[in-house]
Amino acid sequence: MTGRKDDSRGPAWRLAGLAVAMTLALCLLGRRLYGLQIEESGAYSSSQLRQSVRRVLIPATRGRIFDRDGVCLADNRPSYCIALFIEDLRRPGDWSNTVNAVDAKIDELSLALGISRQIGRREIASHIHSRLPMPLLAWQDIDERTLALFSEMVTPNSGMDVYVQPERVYPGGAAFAHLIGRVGREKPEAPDGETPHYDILGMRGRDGIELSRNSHLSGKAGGKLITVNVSGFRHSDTNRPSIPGRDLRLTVASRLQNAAFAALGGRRGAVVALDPRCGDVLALCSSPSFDPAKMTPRIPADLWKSLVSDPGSPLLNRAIGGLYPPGSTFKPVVALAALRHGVPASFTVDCNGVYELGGMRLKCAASYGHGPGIDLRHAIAVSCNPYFCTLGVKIGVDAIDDFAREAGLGAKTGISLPGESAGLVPDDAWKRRTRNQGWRQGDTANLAIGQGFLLATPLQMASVAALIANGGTLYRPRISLDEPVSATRVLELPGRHLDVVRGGMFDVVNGKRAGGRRARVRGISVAAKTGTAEYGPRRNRRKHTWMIAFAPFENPEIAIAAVIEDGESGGLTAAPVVASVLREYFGVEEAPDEESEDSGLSEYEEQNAPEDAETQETTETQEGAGTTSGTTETQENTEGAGGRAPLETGGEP
Amino acid sequence: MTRKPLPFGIGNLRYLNWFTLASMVALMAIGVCYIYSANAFRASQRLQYLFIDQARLSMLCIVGGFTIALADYRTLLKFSPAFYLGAVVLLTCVIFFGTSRMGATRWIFGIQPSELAKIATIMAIARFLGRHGAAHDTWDLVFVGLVTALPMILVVLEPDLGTALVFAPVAAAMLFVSRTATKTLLTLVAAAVLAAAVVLASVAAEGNPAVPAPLRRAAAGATSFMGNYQKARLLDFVFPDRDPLGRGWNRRQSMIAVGSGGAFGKGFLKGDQNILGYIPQQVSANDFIFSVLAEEKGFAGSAFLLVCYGILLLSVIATGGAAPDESGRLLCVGVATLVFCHAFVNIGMTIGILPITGMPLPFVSYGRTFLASLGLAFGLVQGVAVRSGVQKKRNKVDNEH
Repeated sequence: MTGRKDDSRGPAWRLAGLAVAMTLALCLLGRRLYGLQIEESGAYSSSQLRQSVRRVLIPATRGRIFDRDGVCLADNRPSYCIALFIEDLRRPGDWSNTVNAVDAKIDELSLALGISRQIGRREIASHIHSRLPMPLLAWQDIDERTLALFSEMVTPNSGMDVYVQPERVYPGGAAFAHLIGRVGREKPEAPDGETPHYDILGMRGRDGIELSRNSHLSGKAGGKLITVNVSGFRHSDTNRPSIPGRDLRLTVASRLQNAAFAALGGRRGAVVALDPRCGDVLALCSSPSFDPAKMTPRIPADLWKSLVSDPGSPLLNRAIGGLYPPGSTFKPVVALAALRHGVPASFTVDCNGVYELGGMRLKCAASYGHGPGIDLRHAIAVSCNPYFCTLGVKIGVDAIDDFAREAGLGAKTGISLPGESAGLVPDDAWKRRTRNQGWRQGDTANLAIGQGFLLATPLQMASVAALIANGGTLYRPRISLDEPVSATRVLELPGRHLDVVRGGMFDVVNGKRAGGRRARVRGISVAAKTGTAEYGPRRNRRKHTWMIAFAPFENPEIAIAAVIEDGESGGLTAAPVVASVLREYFGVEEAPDEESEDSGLSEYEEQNAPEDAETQETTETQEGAGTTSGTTETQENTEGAGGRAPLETGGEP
Repeated sequence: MTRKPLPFGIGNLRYLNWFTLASMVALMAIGVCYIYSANAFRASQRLQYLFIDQARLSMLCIVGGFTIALADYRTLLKFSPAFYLGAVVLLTCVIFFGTSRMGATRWIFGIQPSELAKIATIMAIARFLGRHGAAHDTWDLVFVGLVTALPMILVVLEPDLGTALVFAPVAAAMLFVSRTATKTLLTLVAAAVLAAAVVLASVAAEGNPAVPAPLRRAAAGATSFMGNYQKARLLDFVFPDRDPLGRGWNRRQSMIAVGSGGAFGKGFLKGDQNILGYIPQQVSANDFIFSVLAEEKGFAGSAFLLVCYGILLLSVIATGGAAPDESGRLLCVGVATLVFCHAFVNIGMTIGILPITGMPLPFVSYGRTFLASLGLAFGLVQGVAVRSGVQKKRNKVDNEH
């Protein structure tokens, strides 16, 4: 440079080289930083989120269920819990210190509130291990006194708070237990395939409408993003609100449901009431039932065990899942099938009290026969077995089956309830497949009186009643008002055919000494068909008693099917149940004089009815017919000649 | 003709290297901001106000630096033997009476003598190699080696291997820039590479059960100056996936912080990795301050920091190039190398290209002794700039006459 000798200094290139080396090294850092922060930033960002963000699913409030008049049948009530926040109670050092601190806190609360502990050390440790950022529920469902006491103790940063979780309640009680179903605690469904780290248990339908309309009721789970710090404690939250479940309005009228349930009176059976004009389910109840209040939030093990082992099968929804031979309630279907097959309504059979076919003897309810020249309407009115056996054999099994299937038997109705049975309309192919036997004419005769292999649910028989009432439209039963009214199919039924069958059903109730007169309702003309189907081994003489009905006769608004297991007879056991539902529907008071007028008679008949219950004598082995071996039809309306009189009273619709 | 000189020669401050000053002040400001950010969410009040401490000392450094710059650095270098000896004595005291933090004994009277020893060694070497007419023979090299090795060994004994290792490149750079023959330098480089290879191989062999036991014992003996945690850190660096949740944790979390910062960062005071404690709070304000900055300001911020260091280093080297004598030149080179080593190793470890060591980021990391020694060092560097400015002026005047 200036005045200095150059050899006193190191070479200038070395200094420059050092500067270049340092610059290059800084550039190397810059290149690496570019790689980390620009090129691979996404991967590091997701690592960062993965380690510090926990996704929590929060269930939406479940929708309520109302009947068609707005009566609440399923509701949510708040259940108050005491929640502890571990991040406020944490202690440094080993995790066991924090467990001790929480344990001590619970002891302290237990003493202060005078309540015994609900969770122990093990639960605390497992919560800290697996659900650290979530509140720990130290007590669930505390009573109001405890809530009041506790609320005074809560201060900010005290590490505890009141936590509310919804609990399902069923104000409808046992009458609606099968229809509404129940819910269980379950993880809410994660939207868009997200995998939550934690979830708060929500409710999920386990049975009944709660199950079939779960998606409508459950809404969409909300969420919460919890940022956790390096030790896993909660640092902050971000919320995403849930979309609450929608309410559901049923077609069921709770006053009808309650009337039906009360009329069943705990006996094994079911009642289904439909609106024949649109297929609305007005009542659908099954008995015996259970108290749904005892089923939430979870079913006690011993209760569940007793329900499952109960011989009365209280958990079975008989209205849609119970399979019964329909007995004489099937006769209107056979009558319509025959009319369509071309048999005139004037077709007559002489009933001498027994029907013989080959080696089979099938007795009529009237021991000495209904007399000569029974026509179709009269045969329905008096439920004449030989008439229908003859008719059935005349038109053949296929004609009966075809029409039965068109009327909705042998297939599920499509009601939106879980556990529906399809029933069975037997034919040759079915019998060959399951019993390795061909179809015989005796089977046809049995089928024609609703016995043998035929099985139907009360809902199906109510649909049959509705179909006859509305002139041939088979609606898909509608359980909630938001479902569209839809017809499964419309049958072409000529008016004169319907007139004959409806007339016969009118006579069943309104004829003199009519078998179904207990279904009478003052001021309303009711049409019905009784049925008494024997089942099981013949010596037991066990009978399912039926009635299908519709009213008012002139312009039907309601169609009912009622079945009671092990009843006396359709007219004695099922008809009063139908009558009480109808009285509730039409708002008619029970008429004491009417009843007393009949009471003498009914006593007489009750004594005689078992005597009249004739069994089919057959050379064939009928034991194979499952629940309905050795069957016959019992009809308490035994007065052969007397039954003819009301024919004239049958009004034209 | 010429203006009357101001008292104490304050007018000479116009010869300061303004690039050096500007980049230094920028780095100090960044440091204060991110020490605040690193501790803003800590529970401890003391930690929350750490940035004030740093700001105060930074300003003191600037003012002190001006004072030192006005004095003649050549006069100050005359005291370098005494300063060096004082540092060595303090380092010795640390070993016997020092206070321990985090497994290492580095403090005495609230200061870290190892940081002072660095600048003292630079001054001593600069004075020794810069003396007039000195022929750089082998004995000179041996003397420089001893001057460097003494504090190094004392620091290794603390134990603080990272800090100790800085002495070697600083001395090497000063030798490189001085008149030392190229052949001699090559020999030194070869020796250093060999030593590093032996150490690395020994550490790897010691922990490898496949190696025969006597060999392992020999390897352990050869690396006995290293603590177990240092060996572990070295192995973590050589085999990064060895232990992701153990010792590799800091490195991994630091890389996540830097990488998740992205192009422009998450925003000041919004660095989740720091707030949530994934960057440990004991080190976020000093060793890992760069992660905090890189997370909150992204690539833009970290690149700006690198540019600041680039300007700082080049301007210091430029000052050295224009220095009036060899000792000033070497002083600048020593200080530049020291700053470079710290910056490179610190940033390198936070982005996973170097092993984790406790090397603070110059002017940015919290650390009082290091900041004060940097203030002294840069005062000397600015002194070199002032002297060369004064001399240039004088020569100009001489030439005019």
